[in-house]
Amino acid sequence: MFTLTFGSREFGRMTQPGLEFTVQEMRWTVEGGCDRAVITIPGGGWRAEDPANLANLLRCPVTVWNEHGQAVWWGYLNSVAWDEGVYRVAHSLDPVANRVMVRYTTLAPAGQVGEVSQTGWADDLQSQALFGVKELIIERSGLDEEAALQVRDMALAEGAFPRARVSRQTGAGGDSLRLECLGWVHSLKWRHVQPLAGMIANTPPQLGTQNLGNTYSDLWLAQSITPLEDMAIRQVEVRLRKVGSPADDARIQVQTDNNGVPSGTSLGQALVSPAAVTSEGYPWLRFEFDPAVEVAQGTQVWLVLGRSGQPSQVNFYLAGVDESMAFDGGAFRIYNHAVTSWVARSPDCDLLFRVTATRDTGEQLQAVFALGNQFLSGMVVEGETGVESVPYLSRPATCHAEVLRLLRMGTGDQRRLIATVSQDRCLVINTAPVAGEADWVVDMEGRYYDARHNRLMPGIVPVGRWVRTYGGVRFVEKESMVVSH
Amino acid sequence: MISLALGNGLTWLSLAGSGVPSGLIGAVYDPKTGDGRTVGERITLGLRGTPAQVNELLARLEEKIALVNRHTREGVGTPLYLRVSCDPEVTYYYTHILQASLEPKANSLAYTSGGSLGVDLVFTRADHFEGGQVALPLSNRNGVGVTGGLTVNNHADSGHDNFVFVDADDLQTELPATLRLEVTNATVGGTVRDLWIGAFQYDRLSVPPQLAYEGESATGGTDVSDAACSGGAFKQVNWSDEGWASLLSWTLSATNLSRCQGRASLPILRLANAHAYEDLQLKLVLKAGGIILYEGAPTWADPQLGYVVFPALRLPPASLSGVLSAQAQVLHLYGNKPNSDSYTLDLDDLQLLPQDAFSHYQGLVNLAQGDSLVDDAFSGLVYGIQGGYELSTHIPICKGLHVFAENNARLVFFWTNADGEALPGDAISVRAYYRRRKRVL
Repeated sequence: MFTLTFGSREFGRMTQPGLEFTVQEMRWTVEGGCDRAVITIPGGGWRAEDPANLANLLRCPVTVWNEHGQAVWWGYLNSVAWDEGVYRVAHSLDPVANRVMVRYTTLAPAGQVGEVSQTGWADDLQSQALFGVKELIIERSGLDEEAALQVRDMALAEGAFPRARVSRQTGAGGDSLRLECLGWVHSLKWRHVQPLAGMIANTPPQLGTQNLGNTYSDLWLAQSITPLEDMAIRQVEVRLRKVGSPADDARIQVQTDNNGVPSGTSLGQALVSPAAVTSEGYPWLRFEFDPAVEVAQGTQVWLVLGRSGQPSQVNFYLAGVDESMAFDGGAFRIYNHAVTSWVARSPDCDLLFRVTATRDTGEQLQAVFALGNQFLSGMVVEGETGVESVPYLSRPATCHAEVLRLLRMGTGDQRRLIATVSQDRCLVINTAPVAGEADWVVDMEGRYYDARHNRLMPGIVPVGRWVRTYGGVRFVEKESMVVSH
Repeated sequence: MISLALGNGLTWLSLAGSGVPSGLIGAVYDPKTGDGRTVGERITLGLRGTPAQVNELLARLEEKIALVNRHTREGVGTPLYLRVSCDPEVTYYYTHILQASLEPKANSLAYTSGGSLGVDLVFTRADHFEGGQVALPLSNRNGVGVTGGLTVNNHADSGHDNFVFVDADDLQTELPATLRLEVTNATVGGTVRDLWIGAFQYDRLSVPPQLAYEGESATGGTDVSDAACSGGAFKQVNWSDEGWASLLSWTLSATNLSRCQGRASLPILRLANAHAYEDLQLKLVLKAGGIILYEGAPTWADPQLGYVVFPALRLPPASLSGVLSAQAQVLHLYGNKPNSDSYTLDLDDLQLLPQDAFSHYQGLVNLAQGDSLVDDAFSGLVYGIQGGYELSTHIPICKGLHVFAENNARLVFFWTNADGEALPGDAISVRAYYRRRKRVL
């Protein structure tokens, strides 16, 4: 026997609809805890005005309680559907979008690819004030800017508020009223994130080469970069080859800026033996920084490429550059020792480079959550995951997708990470237990018991636990409870 | 003499027995039993008279049927009942009609032309009958056998009771009897916001277990005298360990555990003083001989509230045969914090709210002194009374209390005020009514 209560959208208490709800099904997963609940009101149990009144409760908090007064499922009302004769009418938050952007490729001549561009966001503030921000990014190809804006504004006009969707039923229509509720973790799908702290790169096709350490006039090469977020540089890759047989190392330093040129103050450096540099082509050559070089958001630094020995016109290095100047995040300079100053190259160019940073996935989860959350009360990542990855997305993703991507990377000791949204709407991420330690038990009748062999209260399920059955032990990733009436 | 009537408690349309309208010459009713919740039945009615008399009777029946169906479908009006009496003392029993219709008997047209008509009143009703509402005498140390409102304190100690006692001898019922409870705020200047009521029900040979445990009776911490607290003192615990740490423990004696018989209880911890920690979690752990037998889920200790409600637990936690006494166990309160700062908790008492029957109401509108909350399990309604007017004041999470036949009952109360505090000095007045319930008349 389960009961249902609604809260206000501001997470306060409110007068209840006064209807007898029947909880049909509840589902939980290790990727957010409460996942989905289906609630019905049988035919005859609702009045003509009830569907519209319930549709006004979309995004209101919903809590399901067991007969012991214990909350067992919580989330928000996502859709209301009911039958009218042979028609099914539904109001849902799924198609709602009150913040819209279009990413598109521009029109291009036949056989050529247009450039990737995007519109700004268009907002419906009235809808956002009611439901919260629900973003939609539309992908289109072959648009001009005006058309992209039109696509965006049409989508916003049509999607800002829930609208009734009517479909004809194939079978005999019922007469029940059906509510679909989603766990709060699904609200992380409403906003997009695009972490950029993990990479700064300039990787167009190579167009040009630049001597390095051939003479004193090309002793060092430097490329400036400015991170958009705090960055811990782990590695820098450049396209480099050697000429002859240089015996000294290739070297990259990260230097601070001094009035638009490298200052000479190194924040960290990395060396690569000449044996690791080939004489053919311009392969990517990786320089690894240990410890990582910390660069604050918005701080310009220079990647200074040089050699550890003296110049030689016989044994030197060649770097791949881009004379098309596709990179607009910095400048390229050459140190001319003859005049003891940094000078621009002629023709000007940018270095071909990839700067990547790694970060503990637990910290990344915190950062992504801070960007994409709007309804949860907080996030707790219990301990570091011990896994480092590059916090970078080349295109926006929903906060939910990014959280799951990071979650699924697990921990450094190859254990799963599980996420639960608590009743007070805090996203708690911790490590899954190890099989054999505090396993729960299921008996032949499907009744669950905790690790101390205490039978679980109604609506409490062993998601995120190892459960011992007669056939062995299994990890419960998700569990549904179909309530019999 | 069998008496049958259809009505809402105020007006009745008699179908058999005294007061039958002219034209209605007979009613045949054979009660059945259903699935425990509802049952479908019919009453065969014989009508004879002038066409005007028959039509008027049919119209009156159809009016009642429309009221039944409208109340069930739309919640409009009041519930309609079938009232039945079959004993010489004319004791009435009532059953809620959920849906109804009229069906003509065979050859009805031929009979109608002869001035008579047979129709079946086909209906679905609740699968039980209930007697009239009876005031239930309540007792505690504030009064014995009180029906006009018994004072209940918001704590239990040597001088106060947070419960009312219902004597099995005062109950006449076959099935668990529904209660109508009226809880009135009796605290001068006080408010009632959230309310929990739990019942422990036990036969005449049994004794209820200890359900309230004072903070100062726990092992660990320091006792601090405070006249405003339950028992006149609270327990102060101070710790700085990061992570989970055992703060206090209470020994649950073999006698008390045996009396619990595996029942569920809702543990509610009352704080003597609010804390200010946003990151404090608490949990309850049961141990025997140092071995953990039960470990409750961590519960966030909301600094805005003067109490913490833990998940329900069974005592003893696993099933035992009951042939021998249950072994004594120790109930530990654990705290968890993410730092090594020094934390202090002032704990007044731990209430194990029994759950043989259980209700919980979340306050929407606070009850001021003299305001009441009514939970009528017979009608299924929960509502408040303010200044003589009805108002929806609470959200019922669990509702509809009942008492078992041949059992004593202890109804235990715990409530909070508008500030989220559960003040031991607050009081309410409780009235209870019950209806005898039976499946077979």
